[in-house]
Amino acid sequence: MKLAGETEAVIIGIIASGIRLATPVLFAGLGEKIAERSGILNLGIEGMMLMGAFGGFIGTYFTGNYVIGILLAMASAGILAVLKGFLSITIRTNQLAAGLAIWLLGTGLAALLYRLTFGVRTAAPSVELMPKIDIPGLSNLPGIGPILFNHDPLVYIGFLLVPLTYIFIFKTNLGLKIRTVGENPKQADALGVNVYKIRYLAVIVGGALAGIGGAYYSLVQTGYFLENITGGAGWIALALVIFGRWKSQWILVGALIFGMVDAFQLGLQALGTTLPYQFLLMLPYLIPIAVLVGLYKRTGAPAALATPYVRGER
Amino acid sequence: MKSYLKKASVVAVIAALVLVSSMAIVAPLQIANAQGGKQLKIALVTDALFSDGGWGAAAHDAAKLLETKYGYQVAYAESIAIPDIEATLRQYAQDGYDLIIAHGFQWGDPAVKVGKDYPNTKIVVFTGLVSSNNVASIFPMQQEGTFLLGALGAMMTKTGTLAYVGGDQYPNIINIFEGYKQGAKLVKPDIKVIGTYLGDFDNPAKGKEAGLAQINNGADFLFHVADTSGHGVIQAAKEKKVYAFGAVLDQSALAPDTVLTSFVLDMDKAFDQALQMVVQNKFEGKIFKPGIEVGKGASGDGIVYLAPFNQLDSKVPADVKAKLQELTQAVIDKKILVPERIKTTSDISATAKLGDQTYTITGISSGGKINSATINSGKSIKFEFDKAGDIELTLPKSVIDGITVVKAGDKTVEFQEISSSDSASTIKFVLPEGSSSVEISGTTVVPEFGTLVAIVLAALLVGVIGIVRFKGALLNLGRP
Amino acid sequence: MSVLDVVTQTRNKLRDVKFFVPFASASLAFVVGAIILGATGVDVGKAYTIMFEGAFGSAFGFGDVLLKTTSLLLTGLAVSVAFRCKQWNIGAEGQLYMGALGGTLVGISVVGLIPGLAIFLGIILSFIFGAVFALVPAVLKVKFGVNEVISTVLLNFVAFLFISFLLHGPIKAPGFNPYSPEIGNASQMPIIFPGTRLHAGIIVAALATVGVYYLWKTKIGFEIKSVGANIKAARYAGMNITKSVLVTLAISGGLAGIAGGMLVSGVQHVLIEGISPGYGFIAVIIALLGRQHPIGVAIVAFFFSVLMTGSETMYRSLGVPSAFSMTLQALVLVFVLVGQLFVVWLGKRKVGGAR
Repeated sequence: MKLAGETEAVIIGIIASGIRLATPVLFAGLGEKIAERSGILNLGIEGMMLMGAFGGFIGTYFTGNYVIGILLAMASAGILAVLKGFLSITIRTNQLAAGLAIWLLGTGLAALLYRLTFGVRTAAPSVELMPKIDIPGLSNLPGIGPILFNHDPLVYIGFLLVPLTYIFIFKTNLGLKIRTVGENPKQADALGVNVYKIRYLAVIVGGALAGIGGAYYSLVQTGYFLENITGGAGWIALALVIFGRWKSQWILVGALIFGMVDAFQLGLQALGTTLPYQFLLMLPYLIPIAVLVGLYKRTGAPAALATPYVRGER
Repeated sequence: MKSYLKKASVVAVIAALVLVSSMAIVAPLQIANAQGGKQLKIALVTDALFSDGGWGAAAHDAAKLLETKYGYQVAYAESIAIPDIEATLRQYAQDGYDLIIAHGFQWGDPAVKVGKDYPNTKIVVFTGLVSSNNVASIFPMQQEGTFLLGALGAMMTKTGTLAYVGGDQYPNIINIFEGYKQGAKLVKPDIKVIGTYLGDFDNPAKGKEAGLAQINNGADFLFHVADTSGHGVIQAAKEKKVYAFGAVLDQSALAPDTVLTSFVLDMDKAFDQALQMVVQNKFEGKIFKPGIEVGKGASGDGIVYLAPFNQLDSKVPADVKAKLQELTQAVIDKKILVPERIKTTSDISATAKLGDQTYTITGISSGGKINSATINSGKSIKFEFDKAGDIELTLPKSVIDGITVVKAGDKTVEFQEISSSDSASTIKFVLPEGSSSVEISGTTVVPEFGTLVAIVLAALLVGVIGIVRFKGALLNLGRP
Repeated sequence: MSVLDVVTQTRNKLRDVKFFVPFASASLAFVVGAIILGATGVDVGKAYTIMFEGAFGSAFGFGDVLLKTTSLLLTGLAVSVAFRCKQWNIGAEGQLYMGALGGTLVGISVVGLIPGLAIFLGIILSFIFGAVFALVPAVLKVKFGVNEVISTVLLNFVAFLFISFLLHGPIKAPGFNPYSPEIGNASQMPIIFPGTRLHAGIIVAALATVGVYYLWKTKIGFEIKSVGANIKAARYAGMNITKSVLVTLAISGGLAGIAGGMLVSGVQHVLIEGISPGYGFIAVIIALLGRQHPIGVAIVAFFFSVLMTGSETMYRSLGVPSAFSMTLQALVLVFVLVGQLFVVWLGKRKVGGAR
């Protein structure tokens, strides 16, 4: 029976690990969903996440307060989002180009500001990791407890955001406006909705959420800021939104698949396997594509995605 | 279609002409870059980041020390992309730099190439394996340090499982982990060593999850060589309250209650050695392979050492410390060899029968497994392998002692005795491609029954005579 | 269309104020860059002098500018071809790596020793490898409707890992480092200007530019453009959409593949991880700024390689953090995009005047 217990521990470990790996991409994915629902495609999530990781780190490093850190993460990524909005909404440049510019800018700026703040040190400056919160009564449940109820606060917030963003988009007036702006900006305008304002709002909210996703790496996972700490998570988030067909619940499923596959391959390596590790590392990138193939031709993209809106233009 | 091709080639020729002529205009400007000044000019160049809190940062600090210690100006360039390595070296050589310290094995080949064109510039490649007239490499025997980590872990593990996490499967890193395994197995032959490669040197989140997965699989010592990804490995150990080993520099400060010790590359010493070669005009274009030393600042040429236990000192039992010291000295004195191994090995074992006695022989191999082992009484042991490769075998002295010749087919193969104890010795050899069997001969090989009986009888006889004579002596003593 | 027409067109473009706006915007980015540099305590004048000298001050430096142009131009063209058909290929980096593999395989085989044939086949195989790898997302798109932005982005990572696997095992050279064996002498692109690293690949890139220019004059080129412009109209006109998408992405991936092949045959002479510092990603920006026109792409590619070479020289000389180089490039891009506002404004004024 000892063996069974060990196997169980390994499986629980992998699932819990998968949830942690899924959380940052979940935040970024939900944020990007809101932006895309309003018609703005943002390829710059990776840059925003890095700015968020940096903002969260210095905020917490200098004040010792996680809330200030998270707020600063949201603000730093939010500033980039404003710029993205300006490029894509106000002056209507190509959204792919604007997104890539934001990606480069966020990556470069986060690294540069970090270097200007801390210089070069052999002992990288660090913050204490955000503590875990056990949900009383639930965290001791066998199996489910350690998987679901023994995490840091951001995991709970991230999962809570799934229904919240769903309600926000489908059940609130503002959500309706965002959807209309994304589907048919002209009609929205005719109904008296300020298309520009709504799109700005959606992009900034999206950016702020990407910022939290980034801060997850610096405040929860590692306690450091490092250049490229997000390791391509922004691109995964982008894929998740399309994979999830712009629906919160499916984005969650996608994020979990990604996290689980990643955790599984690390777990598999630890168990010992003769398969070259590169093939295991490919899984998190290949499986989303495979799933998309399975979802054969079902779309749901906002009709006006990546198209700028010009008032009064036919 | 044809006319398109014609026009295309016309345009291409014109474009090429324009380019070449513009080059001709630009070329003379080059001379303007005159060099002067007597001050020694030093540059440190790397593809890593100086702010990585590890590999790059340690190099940066070591170069800074050259500035403060001797007053030289050092130029720094970090994060150089692979295709720009040659251009970077050329720029410094052209600017009249006397010494370029290139940090990382990727700089080896371009260094030789650029060195040829700039004979006055000396290039030292840290962890490189190249050399020419004005290019030298320092290739630390890191596996000697990690051998000690493995031994330490094996002495202290409660679960019997050690783990390692690698950034990428570079031969250099394989070598480091093979040393770790050798150390662990020497202390505890049945130990389990599990490994994970991340494919990523700067992804601490992934490093952490990999570490947690290993702890879940029973590991209670995590060792990383993964640069910033390794920070995550240490975090995982900290969270689960197991020990971690740091890499490249003393990483105790990252998690004082978690990092038991680290294997340290003494770059301060290495860079200083490189500088002295240039200052004292005794540059040698060769590959230096400095190994282990007792600690920071020890005399001798070694540049690898284990960091102090710092505040975990009280957690390490005295006998473990003594044994560790003994092993360190054995490695320094070459009593135990930790050879370079650039291929991942797996365990092999075989049993050989002689009479009713069964002997088990264990080892590691980068290639094939042992199909069979036969003891050719009085002469040799013969092994059949299914594939060629690098082989190491631990042979009990009760089976064979005083190994003289290793033969593959009818060709003699060079072998190395890596370590030897009272009960067994370990040898390393390469089984060449195309051969599948090896015959190892020694001075004493376990004898056949007949011989055995004879020897036992002889021994008894000698013993009896000895006792009798001894007794006689005692009796004599008793006399007044 | 002849060479003369191209010249005339370019001249007309030069007369247009719009043409200069991006350059003015880029200059503004340098002003902002100067402020950041000033904040780090660096002599700004000296920094920009070094930057200029880095790109134009020596034959070697300028040779490196053209060397980078080769990679950026080929990948930029690759992406621009796909964009013309509204296929958002963000996977040029991965296709570049696969092309590099194709070139390497020719170079390390016996063929790598046959003069002439080695280089020719090297280019062909790097094209094929890049094209086939780009056909994966193309087929997924036309067969299963998988969005190509996702699949091309994700396949980049797959390509890196695949190359990593090969370099650690099947095609690793004997010895210590994870490199492929060196390619044969005949496979190595000749240096066309001694004392620099500039190799004949720039001619290949120039030919590719011309090739793409004339591609749009051919029937299939016209179809591709039509599909990109208005897919419904193209379908109504009886054009084969599937074929257009497949051909487009094959050409696109092939061009990116050649860029990779050139990095092996012209620069490294071995295949190595990290052979490209993200040319395939910057290519997306270049294609967009160059307005998907081969001449535009060539100009922007040249400008960007001046910027990259110069800013890298600068941070090496002054010890400015490497992140500054990336930030400056991003700033240039942002300002050029903002500059388009000015162009739009110019356009509106003209329309207003005509009324």
